[in-house]
Amino acid sequence: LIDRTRAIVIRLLTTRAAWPVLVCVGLLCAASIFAIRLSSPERATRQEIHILLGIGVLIVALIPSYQFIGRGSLVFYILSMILLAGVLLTPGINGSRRWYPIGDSLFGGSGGGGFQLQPSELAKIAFVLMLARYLRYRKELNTFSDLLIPSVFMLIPFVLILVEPDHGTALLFPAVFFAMLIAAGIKLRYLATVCMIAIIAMAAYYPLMPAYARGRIFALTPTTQTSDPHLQRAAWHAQMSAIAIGSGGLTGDPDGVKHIKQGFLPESHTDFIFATIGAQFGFMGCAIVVLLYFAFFAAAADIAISTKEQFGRLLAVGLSCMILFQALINMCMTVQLAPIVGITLPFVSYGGSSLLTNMLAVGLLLNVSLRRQSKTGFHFGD
Amino acid sequence: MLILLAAFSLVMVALIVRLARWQIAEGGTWQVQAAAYTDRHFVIPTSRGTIYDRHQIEDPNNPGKMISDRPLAVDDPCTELQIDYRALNLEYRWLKNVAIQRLKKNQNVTSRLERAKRLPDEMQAIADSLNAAPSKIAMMLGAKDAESEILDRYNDIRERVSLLKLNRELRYFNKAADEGNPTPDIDPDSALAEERSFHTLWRLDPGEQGEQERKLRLVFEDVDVDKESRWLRDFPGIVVGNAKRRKYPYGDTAAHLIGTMRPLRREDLAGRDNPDGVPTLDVPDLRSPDPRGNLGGYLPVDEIGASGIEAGKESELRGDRGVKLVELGAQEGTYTKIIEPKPGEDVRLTIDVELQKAFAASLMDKNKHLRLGQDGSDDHAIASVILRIADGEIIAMVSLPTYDLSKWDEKKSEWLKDAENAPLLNRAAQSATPPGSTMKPLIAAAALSERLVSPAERINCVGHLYGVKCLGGAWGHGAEAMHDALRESCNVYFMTMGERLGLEREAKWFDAYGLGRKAGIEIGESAGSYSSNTTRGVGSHEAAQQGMGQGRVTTTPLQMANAYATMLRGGVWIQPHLVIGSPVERRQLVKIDPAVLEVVKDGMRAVVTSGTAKKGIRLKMATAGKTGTAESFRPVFNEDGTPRWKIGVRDAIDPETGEKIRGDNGQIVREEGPLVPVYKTRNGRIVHDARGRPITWYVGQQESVKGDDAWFVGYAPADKPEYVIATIMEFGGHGGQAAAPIFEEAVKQLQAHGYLQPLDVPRITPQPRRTPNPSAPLGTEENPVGKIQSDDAPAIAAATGGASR
Repeated sequence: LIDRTRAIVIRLLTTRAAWPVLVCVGLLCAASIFAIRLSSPERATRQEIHILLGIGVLIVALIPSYQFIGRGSLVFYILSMILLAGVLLTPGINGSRRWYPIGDSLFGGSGGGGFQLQPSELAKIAFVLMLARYLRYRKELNTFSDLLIPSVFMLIPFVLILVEPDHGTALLFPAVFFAMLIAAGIKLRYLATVCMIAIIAMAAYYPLMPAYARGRIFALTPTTQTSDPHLQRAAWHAQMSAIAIGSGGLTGDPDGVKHIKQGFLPESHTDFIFATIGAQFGFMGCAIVVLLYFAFFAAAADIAISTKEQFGRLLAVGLSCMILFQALINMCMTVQLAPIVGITLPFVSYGGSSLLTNMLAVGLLLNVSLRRQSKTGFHFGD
Repeated sequence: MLILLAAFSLVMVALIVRLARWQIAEGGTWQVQAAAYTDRHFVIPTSRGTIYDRHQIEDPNNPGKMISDRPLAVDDPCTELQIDYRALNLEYRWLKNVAIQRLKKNQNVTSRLERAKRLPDEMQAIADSLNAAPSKIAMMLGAKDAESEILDRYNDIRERVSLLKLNRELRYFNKAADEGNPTPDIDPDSALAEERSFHTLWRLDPGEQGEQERKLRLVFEDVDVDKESRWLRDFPGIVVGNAKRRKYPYGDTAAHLIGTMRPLRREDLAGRDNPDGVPTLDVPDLRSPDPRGNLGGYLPVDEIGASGIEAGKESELRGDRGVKLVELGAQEGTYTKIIEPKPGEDVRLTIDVELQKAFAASLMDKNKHLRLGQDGSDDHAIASVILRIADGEIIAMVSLPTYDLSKWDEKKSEWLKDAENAPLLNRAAQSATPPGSTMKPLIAAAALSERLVSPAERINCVGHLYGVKCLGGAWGHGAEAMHDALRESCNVYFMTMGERLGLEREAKWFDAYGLGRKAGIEIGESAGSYSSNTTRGVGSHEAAQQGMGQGRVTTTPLQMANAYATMLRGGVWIQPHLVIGSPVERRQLVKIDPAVLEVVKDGMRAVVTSGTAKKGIRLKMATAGKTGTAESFRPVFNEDGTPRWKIGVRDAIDPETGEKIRGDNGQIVREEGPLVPVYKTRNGRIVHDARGRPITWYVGQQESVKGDDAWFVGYAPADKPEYVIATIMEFGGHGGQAAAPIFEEAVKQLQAHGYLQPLDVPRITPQPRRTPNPSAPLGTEENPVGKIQSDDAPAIAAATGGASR
């Protein structure tokens, strides 16, 4: 096993396609450490441990062939759906049931926090694997019945996460679903129809949404003179995030940093870490982060395009889209281009389960890139 | 795949554009907003200036430099219980924070989940203990009514803070309106510094400090304890802190001069309705490169001088606050930028507090009977002013009954209500009454200077004139010249002088002496009054009445002292003052010839040696002065201290019952039935009875009683006047008997404190009556001044209405 691991690492470091991905992820993780250290050096240390663990997960994910992993998709999917259902039975924190509390000080951290397993993170990977596995032989998606089963795969986690409630994460599933359908070659006619259905469903759901979620949608508008406490909270989030980002200027500003250090920006180390980066490194920092994601996606797209095997291709598309969607939604909500939802910035936000899941995704992506069937002969493990 | 790439690119472009707009185009404005959240201005308190008396010693640390060593009012550090505004209001976020801290540190709950579970109970426990705090404090202080007082204090603090908040909002709105901006850029919910700071809950008396303080510090938080462990106490948010309090080492001495402090009232602040009000505190923005504001301004919670020098020199004493810009969460004691507070200036009074103290003490000494009036009661109200002639400095100013500044807080309501004794009234400067015969030397100097009489001219006194009696026995004083008229205080003589002067000339001289207008000292005073030729409704013999100090002329003892000083300076009026170094106005409207002055001074010297004050003054030092026995009126009070109203009964028929009503002493008495108290409006019309029924057919008037005020105004030494002393004893009777001993005591005090040399000169024997020779040349000893030319005589007779000679 050690020989195999060493061979994998060497192989990884010598594959041209893997390099851009590794560099982007590495730089994003570095940005994460800087940004977290700003508000809590203690957390930054723990995030470093998370990153080391993540590298471990990444390497482990490279060892078996992705096709071998693909064979376990269904089991993996069912397990994660059970976990998702089970989390609804937990007492919940602040009215939402998203986490399994697993021990308080798993990583030797002291005070606060502890480790909590978020099953929706695992469900994202399981869903992508399952969908890629299901779509791999379907060259044509010509009928609605062809779409029915993949839709069910998508809807189960979507609904389960929606009732947690966790609107942000839930929204990722249909988004990734569409992206993978496009990659699988769906006809635009069907796609448009499915989109229509989705939009109507969302409009119908709107009145059923909790007040705080609706408030967040309207917090987009700057005129936030309202007496509704939910709206006020959402507006406060948006306002503080805007102040933090705006005060960063071109290269970062001490006033903005103080603002964050004093805890005016809620969730400055998790969901709003992009605002922290904005305050700390200014426009340059933000632009670099945005471009890193873009570069990451471009590298992943390169892997996907050059992968002939359908499962690997869909897997690469699904995983990279998932990460990019999440990053874009998070960044957009920080600059008031999207409603405020509770999702993290991949690789950057503080949090163990989020980082490990994303590292797993990168591992699978690289797995594809190492074992893809390219025109130049040698295929590792085949 | 390319479709996805294109879609993502679009979103990324939008993202970059938004980032560029916020961070590059608008970066500066966001930075200002960020700083507004993280940097707070903290106002640093200043200390009020000290009030000293005139005494100075050489600075032991700095030889050659003089320093004052007798503070009369000084800011003194003291201990007090203070409460955090958030604890007072049990603010949710604050409570939650404290509860988390306590769970973490006190009970060692590290799990977030566990803490979340136990949070509500912990918060409730903290709220309960804070609710129980007032009774706990009352128990520890051992004061039964302390609990309700503390609860009242809670309300006061809330009211004050909401007032401040309202004030701020108004300021913002006004500013926005000035700038033409319809909606001010202000978050009404953002907290004031006062909502995040400590407020005084209970001031510990000096006597309570020590053991009591130690106990309190154990139970409540100690400011010296580090921030972390403060949370762990049973009463988070209540601390034992340090503050400043006005201290009065001399208690009741010179209380009227030092004056009191009171909380600022809203109407004191300058605004649209009150352009002369005090400015509002305007904290400069230290973030701006050129911070502008007014740190000397007031907050509605401030104290302001209410009376005396505290009020008169408020702007000097007050000092400017400081301000510092503190980054939130910064280490205690650090700041980004600071404007240091400017302590108030010290004020040095002209009075000698030891002299004043000894003088007041001997006046209050029952064994000396200095407050003994002719009616036999030994507690008459007294006022006395010692004024230095050379520069108008007031060496002492005593008014009895007085009050004790060091007991002001406990007893002020009692003193304020006591209308009968009026201890807060500074009778030396605020009570203007007819000066009586003490006016005569002033009239004498006026008449001589105006050449309306010669010192030798004799005027026949038959014992009365215009219904006014003269004290010279049944047949009067007979024919008397100026010298004897002063000595024996002949009313007829000086009524004649008044008549010769006439109202116009009288007014000119009164004005020159500084009567009828405020003397201009730094504390509150009364202007007094007199009738001039332009005054309407003047009686037929007003000029004659004013000539003997009655009629409509009223003066304060301070005015009389300064009028005498003006006369002795030859007509130069110098503004009397209480503060060393304050600008002094000088003025000379009339000129009194030294020869004239000699005549008047001779007369006044004779008053002491052989005249009306012969029995009252037994000093070895040669002094001179004039007695006065002035008729005046004072309100009468019921036994409970309320003013007594006299009811003028007109048509005293109750419209409801038709029965006849008789009025008496503020109560309407029905012919049969109970007494009905009546209430009166300002214009004297009774509007309703106790049951609220309108009864408009009465006219009421405060009942007053007539009596004789004893006056004495004199100076010492007689030959070379240095100090004028004016004294009044309200309703004391005869000036020579009641007021002259006070003058004597004042001179003794001046001698005892080194202001006058204690001369060992034998008492001068009474002088025989001098009869100046009118035919002798003017200015000689026989006919000093004011010889009347024979051809002027008819004109003078006409001018004075042909008064008898």
